[in-house]
This record gives sequence, structure tokens and C-alpha cells, in this order.
Amino acid sequence: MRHRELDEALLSAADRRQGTMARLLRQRVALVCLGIIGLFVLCAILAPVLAPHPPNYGYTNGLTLDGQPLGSSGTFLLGTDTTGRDVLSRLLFGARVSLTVGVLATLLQITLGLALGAISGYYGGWAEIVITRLVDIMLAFPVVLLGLTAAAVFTPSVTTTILVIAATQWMYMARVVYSMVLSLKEWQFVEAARAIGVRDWRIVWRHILPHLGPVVISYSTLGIGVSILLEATLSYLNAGVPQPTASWGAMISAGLTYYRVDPALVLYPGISLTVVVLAFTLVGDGLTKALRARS
Amino acid sequence: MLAYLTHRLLGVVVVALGVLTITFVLVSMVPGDVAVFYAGPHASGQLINEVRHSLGLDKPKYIQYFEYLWQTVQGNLGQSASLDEPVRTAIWQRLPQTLQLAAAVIVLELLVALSCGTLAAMYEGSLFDRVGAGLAALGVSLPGFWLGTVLLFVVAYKLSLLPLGGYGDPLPEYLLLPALTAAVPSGFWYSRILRANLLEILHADYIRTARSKGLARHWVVLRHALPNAIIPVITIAAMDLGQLLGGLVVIETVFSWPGIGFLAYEGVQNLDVPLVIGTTLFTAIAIALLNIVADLLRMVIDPRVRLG
Repeated sequence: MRHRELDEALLSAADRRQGTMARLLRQRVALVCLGIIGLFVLCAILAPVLAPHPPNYGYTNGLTLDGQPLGSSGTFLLGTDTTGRDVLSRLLFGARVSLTVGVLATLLQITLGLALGAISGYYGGWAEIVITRLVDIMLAFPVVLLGLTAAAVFTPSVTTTILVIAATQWMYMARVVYSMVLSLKEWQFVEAARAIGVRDWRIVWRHILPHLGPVVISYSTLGIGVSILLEATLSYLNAGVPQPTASWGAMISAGLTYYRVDPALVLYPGISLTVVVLAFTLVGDGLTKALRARS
Repeated sequence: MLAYLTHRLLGVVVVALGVLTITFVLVSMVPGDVAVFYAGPHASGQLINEVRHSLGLDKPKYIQYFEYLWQTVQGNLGQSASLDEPVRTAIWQRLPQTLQLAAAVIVLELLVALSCGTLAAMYEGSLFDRVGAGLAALGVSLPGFWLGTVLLFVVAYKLSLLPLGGYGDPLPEYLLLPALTAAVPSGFWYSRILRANLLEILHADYIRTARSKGLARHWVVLRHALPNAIIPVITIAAMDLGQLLGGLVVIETVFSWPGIGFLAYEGVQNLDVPLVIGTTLFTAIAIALLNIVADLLRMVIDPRVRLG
């Protein structure tokens, strides 16, 4: 593990707490992206209030006479999709699915990564061998293929999608935590705690895990972006969130059949997706920088 | 060296065993009676029992597990439910196309990384450099399937410059768009790594020596700095080969490129469990083996690396 980074993380623990947010807010790009994320979260939470129409209702006046999607109009601000549903409402409810999957899948993968990483790093021995091997095994599975397998075996649902994403992403966190715990446990404060008879789980919980905070924070931010992207990809392949639930990835794949008539059906969800994921990526990068900087 | 190889190959065996176990567990979780599925909806009870017996489904689970292991070790991945041929045959038929695409992607990726990374480092802080940084972040955030779709729409449909996906003759015309879609975003990403390496190396003593003997700046960069700076990029690209293979699943589907990724996608659409599992298994083991190749490659191009 990069010891320099660790030293920085430990030494700056106190002044970091005041400084990180300020440092993040000083980066203009990160600030804008933070705003975008706020907007996205608001849209997701307030979707039922903001949406002008129910997202899954196919309007008979939402299609042209020969059954093609409508362009934007006063009733349907962004037009309708291939079955006469309101695109704007579906975009808003799609944000909901993205946020739910993004946050829950990230929480799950961080928890798994922290637990398994800490156990293998702290205890060593058999736990270490088994967990590192499990990490190697899971890293060999390509995410999308495992997602397709899960879709073929189980019925696709939001829960399955979350589980698949978490199952294929926790190893990265586990590796980082493992190597950090490995060096943290050699520090004197851990030795001191052990000397006065503090139990193992308490040492890990109270004395080691707090040092992992910065890593976990920047990792989670990046992880939400990645999870949102994976959800969209799986849904695009009909292996994620099933119809008729509005999901940006599924909207893109459904819009494909009408690309000649109405390319906007592919454009709107694609742009939303790119902007949101980009915002999470840039805030994650900004956070990493802000947490590391200690000039 | 030999000890290292043995150690790594043993690691692959463990990984393969784990992958097999996980896929076996997944297969046995398939809802419904597999024997009924194979025998057909109108089969008699006796026929279903015969099918169950011939598939070995009446044996205890642990025996089924070992038989599954044994079959897979022999290269038998089972019968595809939708294609009327063994899964192995289907994979072998589609593999060359995936390899063609992967090769094109790697070449393009390194070209983008090399050109953009070098220019960004030579003109550090310039507009080009800053745009490059933005593009790298965009590259990791852009959904590959959407980028591919937009490229198909603009280049192939609106401008009619290239075919609308698929595979055929002349190959480069069909290959260009899918390869670009996969290669350009990651190429931008690698270009940032190359740029960072170059900037670090440009402060090294031997670069100052080269400059002070009167060598032009661009020659110093190209001849003295670049060969050293490119090594980590190739290393990382080699380690990412597995992710590349996984990512191609999506690209192949978007462009109807008849590779193993598209095969797996078709498998899901046809609820062909053996086909999907076989493809996943094959790719996972290929990735485990590719990681060893990446390590060896690292050693060949960078003599400082000692494996062990």
C-alpha cells in the first residue's frame, strides 16, 4: 500500500475534517457537478410530483394515427414513446430507478468490501487465503456476462440488478481495504489497544475503520456512477430492470426500433445518463483530490 | 520463472474451479424442471423420466457436480437449447470475430493514447491538454451502448458512410465503428496515464542531459522519454484485457457483431441457459489466463519487473 498516502490520511485527520468540504467547493467543476447531482436526486425523489403524466400509461392520443410516437407538444413536453407513454415522465421515474440502484448497489458493495477486506487484512491465515481467492474468482467474471447469466436464471428485477452489480463490484473495495488494514494493524495505537485487552472486533470497528473514511467516501461517489452505468447497460440488454418500469437503459433500447422516425427517444435518456454519470465521476475525482491534498 | 508459472497456473486452476462452482450453483437454481423443458410441453411422464435419467438429473447433487466438472474439463459445455448444436461449437464459431474486434480495439486504443498523451504532455496546461482531461472523464462516464447507437445513427444512417452494423466484406468498413466505440473512450483514459508518466520522466536527469547536448525538444520526447513512459500504459492495458472482453459484449450487441458477446445476448433473449452459462464460463477462464499473459508481457517489455 502507498504508505505516504496513509501517513497523510492519518496525520491530517483533524484538519481534514474542516478542510475537505472547503477544498471540494473550491473546485469549480466539482461544484457544478455537485449541483447536477443535487438536481438529479431532487428529480428522482419528487418524480411523482414533477411528472406531468403517469409513467407507464400508454395514451391513445399519444400516438399518431398510424401508431408512431409523437414529437414534443404542449401535452407531452418531450413527446411520447413507442407505446404512447410520456417521455418526460418516464425520464423522471427513470432517474428514480437509477438513483435507487446506484445507491443501494454501492452501499451493498462497500459493506461487503469493508467486511471482507477488514477480516482478511486483520486476521490473515485461512480467512485471508479464502477471501483473496474469492476476490480472484469474482474478478474473472465479466460484469455484463454475469448479469446476462443472472437474467437467464432468475427473473430480472430491480433487486436482481442490485445484487448482480454489488456481486461484481465489491472486490475492488475489498482489495483496497485489505491492503490498508494490513498496514494499519501494525501501528502502535492498534498494538496499544490490544495490549490493554480491547477485543478484536472493537479494534477493527473503533480504531481501524475510521481511518478508511476518506477512501470509502471517494470510492462510494465513483461507485454510484459506475453502478448507474451498469444498471443502464444491463437494462439496455433486457437483463436488468424489466418493462414496464422506466429505466434509462431500457428506454434507449426500446427507442432504437424507431430511430428513423424519432431519434430523440434515444437521445434524451442517453444524455441524462451521460450527464449524471459524468457528474458522479468528476465529484469522485474532486473528492479524491480534496481528501489527498494537504499542502 | 518456472516456479512462478506453476504458481500462477495453480492460481488459474483455483479460479476456474471457483468459477465452475458458481456457475453450477446458478444452473441448479434455474426455476422449473429442466427435464420437462428438454422433453417438450406435451411429453408423457415416462418420457420426462427418461430425459431426466439421460441428463443425469436423477442423481444426487454432489454427483451431478463432479460430473459437471468432469464434462467441463473435457471441454464439453453442454447442448445449446436454441441453436441445435453444442455450446462449444457455437463459441468456437464466434470466437474469431471477437478476437478480430478485440485486436482492432487494442490497436486503436494505443494509437489514441499515444498521440493524445504525447501532445498533452508536450503542451502541458494548453487548451488541448485541458480538453483531453475532460474527454478522459467523459470517456469513463459515457455509456458505450449509447455512444455506439449515436455513431450508428449519424455515420451509418444519416451520412450512409458505413454499413449499419453486422459483419461482412470488406471487413474494415464493418469493423471501424464498433472498434472506435470501444477504443476511443478508454484511449483517452490511457492518454492521461501516459501524459502523467511523460511529465514525470521529463524532469529526469537523462532528459536534461539530452536537452543540454542540443537535441531538439520533440526528439527528446519521442526518442528518450516516450519509450519509458509507454511501458506502464501497456501494462495497464494488458491488465484491462479482461474488462475489454466483458465490454465487447455490449459493443457486439449494439453493432450485431457476430462474436461471443452477441452470442450470450442472443442466449438470454432465447432463454438458452446452457449457452449463456457456457459463454460466461469460457470468458471467465480466458480472462484468468489472459492475466498471466499480461504479467509475462510486463516482464518482456520492462526488464526491471521481476515476477515471483
